[in-house]
Amino acid sequence: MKPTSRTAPPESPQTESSAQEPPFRLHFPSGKAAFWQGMVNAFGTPALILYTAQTGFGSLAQDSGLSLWVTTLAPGIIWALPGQVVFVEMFGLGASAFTIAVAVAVANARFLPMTLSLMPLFHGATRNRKWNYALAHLISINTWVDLMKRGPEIPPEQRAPYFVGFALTCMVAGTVGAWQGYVLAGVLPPIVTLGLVFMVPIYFGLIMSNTPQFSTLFAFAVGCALGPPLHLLLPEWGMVVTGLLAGTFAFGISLKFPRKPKG
Amino acid sequence: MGTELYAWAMLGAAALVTYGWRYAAVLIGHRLNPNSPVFQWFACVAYAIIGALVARTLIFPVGMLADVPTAYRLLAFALASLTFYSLGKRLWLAILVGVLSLLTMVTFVGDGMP
Repeated sequence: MKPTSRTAPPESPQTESSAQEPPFRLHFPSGKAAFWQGMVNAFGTPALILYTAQTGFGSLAQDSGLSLWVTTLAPGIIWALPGQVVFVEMFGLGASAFTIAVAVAVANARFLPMTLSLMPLFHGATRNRKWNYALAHLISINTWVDLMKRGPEIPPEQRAPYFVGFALTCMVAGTVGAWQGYVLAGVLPPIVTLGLVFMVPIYFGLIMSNTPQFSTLFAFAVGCALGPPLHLLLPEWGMVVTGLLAGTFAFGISLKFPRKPKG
Repeated sequence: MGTELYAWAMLGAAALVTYGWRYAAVLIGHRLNPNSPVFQWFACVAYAIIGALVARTLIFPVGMLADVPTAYRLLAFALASLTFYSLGKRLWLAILVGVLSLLTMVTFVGDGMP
């Protein structure tokens, strides 16, 4: 694509192309309104889960001897909980920078397919598409699922402000959570902490299985079934191998037996 | 102070490799046709990886959850899913049911908690 064509995205907004383009269900009066709606949508279960999950990270970090500053800034800088946990564990073991980098990279490999699958939604979302490199940093399971679901209903030019509003709210909640977890480590009764920790897999399991598409639902189910045995076989690469096998299988099946997207 | 510097360096390394995946994805994504079916394959792979992550957290957890019997975790998760899909997809209600059923089992059926 030539640089000059960037200013005119193929999806020209509103009325002109309304004949062939389906109308967007969520058309905000302005970019600012889209940003606010993103904040409002995140303020609730998504932000609460981020807060909770990062509380667990904060207390783990305290236990491993990290400083309060490193702990509080880690969610915003890394923005990937499983990778953050690997970082803390490796730090506790006194591992080398190279070992930590490899372990975190493997634990966070999901960001490659996750970010790639959002790219069609980012298409035309920013005036200068270099901004997509900044938007990519805001992707987490939480924010990704929401944009995959809501993105197609929002006009392209309003997707970026919506997404930024949603993700920044989650990030603030996560940062406060990490700080709280560090400060309150060992203060909360174990039964409360256990309840908070268990919220995270329930939340992710439910928002992921709630996908309307057959192919992604099937991929998720096969991934759930294949994940644990492959984790035993290949402790480090199990998750990545599962993703490639189960995802490709589900994609293949969906090509072979196409069905309507709404299930 | 040496440990603090080491911690920041490690944080930087962890952040750099994580952003590396995101950067590579945008770089590749800009070179592909946004209407290509290959994006559906990427979505499937991502969903499958997260499926593996959720299943691993439930079956082979680390930390506190590891002290709770696997059957409790699976039953509590099943109850949460049942609540979610049978009672109008209320996420907070499903999470509440899941957490409370786990804590009930741990407290009254016993075993696994300090």
